[in-house]
Amino acid sequence: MADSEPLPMINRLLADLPGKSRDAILQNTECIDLLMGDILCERGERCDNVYFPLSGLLSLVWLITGHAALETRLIGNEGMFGSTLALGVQRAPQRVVVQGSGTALRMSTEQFLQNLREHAELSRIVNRYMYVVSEQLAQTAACNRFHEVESRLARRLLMSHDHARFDHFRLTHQNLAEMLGVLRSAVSIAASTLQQRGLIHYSRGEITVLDRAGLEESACECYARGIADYNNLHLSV
Amino acid sequence: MTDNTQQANRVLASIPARDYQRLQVNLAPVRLKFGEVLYEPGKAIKYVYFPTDCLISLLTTVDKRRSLEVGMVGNEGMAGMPFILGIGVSGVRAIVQGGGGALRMASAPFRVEFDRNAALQEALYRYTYALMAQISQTAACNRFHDSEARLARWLLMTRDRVASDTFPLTHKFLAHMLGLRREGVSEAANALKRRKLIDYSRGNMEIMDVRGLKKASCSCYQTVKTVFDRAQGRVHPME
Repeated sequence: MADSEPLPMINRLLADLPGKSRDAILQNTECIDLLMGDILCERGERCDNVYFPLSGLLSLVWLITGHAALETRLIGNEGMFGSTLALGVQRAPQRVVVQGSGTALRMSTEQFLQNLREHAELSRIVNRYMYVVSEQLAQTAACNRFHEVESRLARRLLMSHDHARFDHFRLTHQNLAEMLGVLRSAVSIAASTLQQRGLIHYSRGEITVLDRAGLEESACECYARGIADYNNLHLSV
Repeated sequence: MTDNTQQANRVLASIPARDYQRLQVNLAPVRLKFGEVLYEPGKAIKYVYFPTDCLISLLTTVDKRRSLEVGMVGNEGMAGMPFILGIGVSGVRAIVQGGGGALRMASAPFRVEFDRNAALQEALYRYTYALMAQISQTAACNRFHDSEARLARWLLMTRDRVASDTFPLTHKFLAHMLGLRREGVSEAANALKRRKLIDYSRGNMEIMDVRGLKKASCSCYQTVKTVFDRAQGRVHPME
């Protein structure tokens, strides 16, 4: 991806729909702003809306008694929040927080369920997406178990970079600690190492990617594998 | 008409008898052996399996050598979840962790039956939700919890699915499941043994004190169990 090429304002799941269904489905959405730190839904609550990000990032946060929160999944314009409604469960499995400001298309749960019934194509796309999600989750489980903080940090920064409109974005130590499930001090050490190697610049919660290729080399294999899995599936349907 | 095999798998047991009869035509009872590989990542899924008393592990591999169990399928579910989502390829390696029986169905008739059988769809969609929650929980559990608590959790999950306090188990196998070295497994197992929660000898695991083991386990055991119970309607939805 070119360094600061603006991303097109599109959600890739919706873009896969045939024109006719897409127009009909888009009529049921409204465009809203995503503000960093906003909680869209709490774990265990009923999901009133589903979200298709156009820009910005949503983070799904897993809460375990007695521990800090941990991000298990990121959603950008390649995905959506609320897909599990298609499985007949209304309750949000995790907390959803905006982790990068931007915009999203919002649709009410009722409309979403109705659209799933009326448009078989939407149902196929959402199911396929859930399969990718299950793969990502499995990969993350292994990544959390085996990979060093530094390569996990590199992976995580690349994921944010993919969805940022510029080479710099905001992420505090606290944000990063929660994403990686480590102490802040561990984030500091890993971030300084990446900075010393000239891959990023990090100051006061503002991260600038200086050497994307270098960052890709530092990341664990999970980064490249996640993208390949998504693209493979995209092409195969 | 129902039979014992339908009752032996909880997904199948939740389907009305009339729907099950149609399904049954394509279901073949099979015996699965310990260590048998059912799916490989990236390869086509030929059969789906409804375990009756076998236990199947879903493993993710990273760096070409290290593996970790991310999900477990016993008589509460079905192996071949991608098919429920319309995908014919497995993302994980599935191996038989506990030998035993299952009902097997070829993928083509399964797809046809799944599309026209609303009760089966509903049961399997709910199961998929619970399995995805199990995988998420595992991702977090692996980050935070020590090997002893994770081993205790794993033993409890196995116990629930094989419905027995004893089962065959090797250190090597556990190392793959928990993503630990063998020494790490020994240490954790010895700690549980010293506390008289389990007994372990010559490849045979025996759970001595379930309540104690639950205390030694991380909260992930109960969290995932509740999601499954809820998904299968055994807990009131608002509980």
